[in-house]
Amino acid sequence: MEACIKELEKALGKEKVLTEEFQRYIFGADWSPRTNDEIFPPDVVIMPKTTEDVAIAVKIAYKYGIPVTAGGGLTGMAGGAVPIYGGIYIDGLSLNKVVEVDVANQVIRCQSGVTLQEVVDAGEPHGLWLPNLPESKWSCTVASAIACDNDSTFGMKYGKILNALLSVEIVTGTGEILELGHRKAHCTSTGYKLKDLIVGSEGTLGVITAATLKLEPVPEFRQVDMIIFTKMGVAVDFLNRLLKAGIMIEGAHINCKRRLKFYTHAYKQKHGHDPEVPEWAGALLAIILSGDKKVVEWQRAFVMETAKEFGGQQIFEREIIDGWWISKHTLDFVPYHQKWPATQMEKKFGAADPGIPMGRLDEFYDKFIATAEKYNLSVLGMNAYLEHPNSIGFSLSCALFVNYRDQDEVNRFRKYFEELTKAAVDMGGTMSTYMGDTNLKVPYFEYEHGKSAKYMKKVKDLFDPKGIMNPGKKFAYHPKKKPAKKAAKKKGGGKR
Amino acid sequence: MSPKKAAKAKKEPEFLESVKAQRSEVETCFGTSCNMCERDCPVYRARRNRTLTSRGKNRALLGALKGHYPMGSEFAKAVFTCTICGLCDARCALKNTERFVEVRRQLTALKLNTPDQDKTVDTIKATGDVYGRNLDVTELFKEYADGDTPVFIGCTYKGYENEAREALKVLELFGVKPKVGKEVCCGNVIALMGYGEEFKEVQEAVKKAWPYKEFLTLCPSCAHVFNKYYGFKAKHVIEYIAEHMDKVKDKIKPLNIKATYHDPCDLGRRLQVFDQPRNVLKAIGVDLVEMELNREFSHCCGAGGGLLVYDKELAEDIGKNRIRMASKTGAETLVTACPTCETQLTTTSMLVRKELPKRVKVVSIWSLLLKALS
Repeated sequence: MEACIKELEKALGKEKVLTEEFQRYIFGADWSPRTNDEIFPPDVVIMPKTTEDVAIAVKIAYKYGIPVTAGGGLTGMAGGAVPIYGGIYIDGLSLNKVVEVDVANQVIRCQSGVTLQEVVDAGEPHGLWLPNLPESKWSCTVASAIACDNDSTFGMKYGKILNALLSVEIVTGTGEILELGHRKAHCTSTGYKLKDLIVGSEGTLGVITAATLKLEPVPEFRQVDMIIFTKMGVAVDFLNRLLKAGIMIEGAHINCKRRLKFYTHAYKQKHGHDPEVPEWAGALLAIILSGDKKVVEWQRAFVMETAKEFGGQQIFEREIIDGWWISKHTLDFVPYHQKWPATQMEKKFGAADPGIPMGRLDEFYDKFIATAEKYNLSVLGMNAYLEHPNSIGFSLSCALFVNYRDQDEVNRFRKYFEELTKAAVDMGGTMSTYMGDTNLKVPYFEYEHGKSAKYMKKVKDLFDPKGIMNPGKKFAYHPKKKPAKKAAKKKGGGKR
Repeated sequence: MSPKKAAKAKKEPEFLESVKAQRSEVETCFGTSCNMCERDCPVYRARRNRTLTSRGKNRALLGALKGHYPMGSEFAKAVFTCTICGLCDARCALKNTERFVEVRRQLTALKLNTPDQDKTVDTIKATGDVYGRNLDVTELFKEYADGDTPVFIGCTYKGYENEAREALKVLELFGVKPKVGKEVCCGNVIALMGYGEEFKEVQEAVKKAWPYKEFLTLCPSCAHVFNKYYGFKAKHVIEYIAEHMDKVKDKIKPLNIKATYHDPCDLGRRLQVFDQPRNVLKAIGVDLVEMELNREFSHCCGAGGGLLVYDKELAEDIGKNRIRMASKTGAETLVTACPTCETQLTTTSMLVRKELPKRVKVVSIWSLLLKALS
């Protein structure tokens, strides 16, 4: 490793290479539930400024057979960018230049460490925005969004990042620089869609260094409402009816009642108590409409009228909705009382992220509660994010409170995670919808993918012949020569 | 070696009790890992290095407290590369900057300060002035020797007599008779750089020289330090003026200018004085436009927390970013109510002048008041 670091320092300059223990320690964990004994510092951190810097680093890593893990905001919820086998960590945030905002073609080209919010900021003077916005948008980078295929508040109209991604530049596991995609065209029928392989690849095929993204016109007006229903499944039927009618829904989130409390922190700050919703309410649908004001107002009237047919009841207490919206999008928390630290002093948010068929939401909700109870974990609640454009496509967040100071509780959380994940596959769904596979799903990767897992491994081998790119994610990693350090880390829970 | 094994292998280092007490909060930061502190951190904006953010430093401290590594010179560098502006606190629910000051005290105990920091402390102790000048306030402002309202001028304005006089003249227009006295530096920089013992010495010196317990100050940092550490009732002049605007309402000649207001960290976040300067500016005919980061989320001028002593280039880069924000508002004038912010932003406005469409003129709130009331 020492020789590798010297070579990195020589090739990149010492200012781009961090070797101090405390510096490396900072990059050894993300937002996922883990105790602070489960921090995996890389052996070296590099802060590249250009794609060429990344290519140089990967070539050196390739030469020595050293793992390379690239990360962004490190707000991942399942450890996708945690360098569990050490090696080189690439701090993607250093690649932070907006290369071009092509207003006429509504396209942005940027380095991959630009945060999603910075993309929005770059488009804003031109009346454009990137709708792929999770709550972590202030620190989630373009590369992270692509690599873990994350979710968005506005997925029901705009979909996930793939819908916006026109082209992507990567550095493969050999250090080769490749551009994949179709430049500024929105679709293509030529070649294999290698660009699509990169979405959700978690850095296992290469390091994402730049991207071309489609921007959308900023809507003139936005209306956020909440409607309560008896069950989550009723809210699904209601949404389906709206789609059939031709309503354009920008975002829809079906929360269970327990979930609402966590997302109305701002309300609680102001009133000293949680918002009150009727006992019978089994689901709270947050629905977002946007566009020209008169169009939105007409659609809203239709939505509210139709809700009655499904037994829905509009929430009129604006502060409940605003409290949720602050948490979900504006992040305009009361100073010194920001939600995440304020609500996670003892236990933190931990979730499984499966996807299930549209007709089985209530059934899966019961399974979620039962599994949480089985492992004696406290329920935070479920949210079904609608992430597929103009259709009912769930991304589920099945969240619990996890004591991150208690290894036993963290371990029970992981058992819950595994069981719920497998249950989703059993129901005809999928293991993950916004976190990716990471190392957590490696043991049951074939449970979902069957024989196709072998083909996926061959794809990885093609891009990453030495298996050094974010090793241990999606596929098990078997280093030829197991350094003592790695073995110790494994024991600490690196490969679960 | 894994952190877990390293923790067992290494002997727990000795930490100050005040630093040990941070363990629970840094664990919470680790557990939370929300990273909401990062985006607007002035140091992060200028350097894009996340080892220097609040989350970065908290996690680094966690590792040190767990015994994974000692606090060395590079660790100290990360902790001192901060303006202690408190923006990360406003984006959080933890007391981050208070913690970083405690860690600085630990670093001082480990003798990890730089010669420049040591020199600043020695200078203050020797001269009672942060800049090492032998300036006697009672001589400089002798015309204010016999007033009835004590006003603490502070080190920065001692060197900018005209600006200080403007503030004193404004007070006179409000019917106040300012009285200056023997001054010794309040020790804000010493406290923020983590020199706990030396700060105690300075406190003693201040108490000997300055006999008043209730008074006005021209500098928000002095006001904050006097209130927090000395038990004095120090009020920043702008608070007084805002309370008494009725006294001058008939004399105001509206300025009719467009300006933006920069919240000094100590006046805003620490003393919670946000509306008063804005109300005063609006009352004298200023069309106030806000910068991207304002009030609780104001962006530091770069001169806070001893950063000017530690890393002048970074301090200037932070100041330049603030001027860029001011320029984006379209206002040609940036107003502030802190002598340190005023001098720092004046300097940095010159440094970025060529890249901006129009020069951003930095002025004190006193100069505008004087114009409107004369």
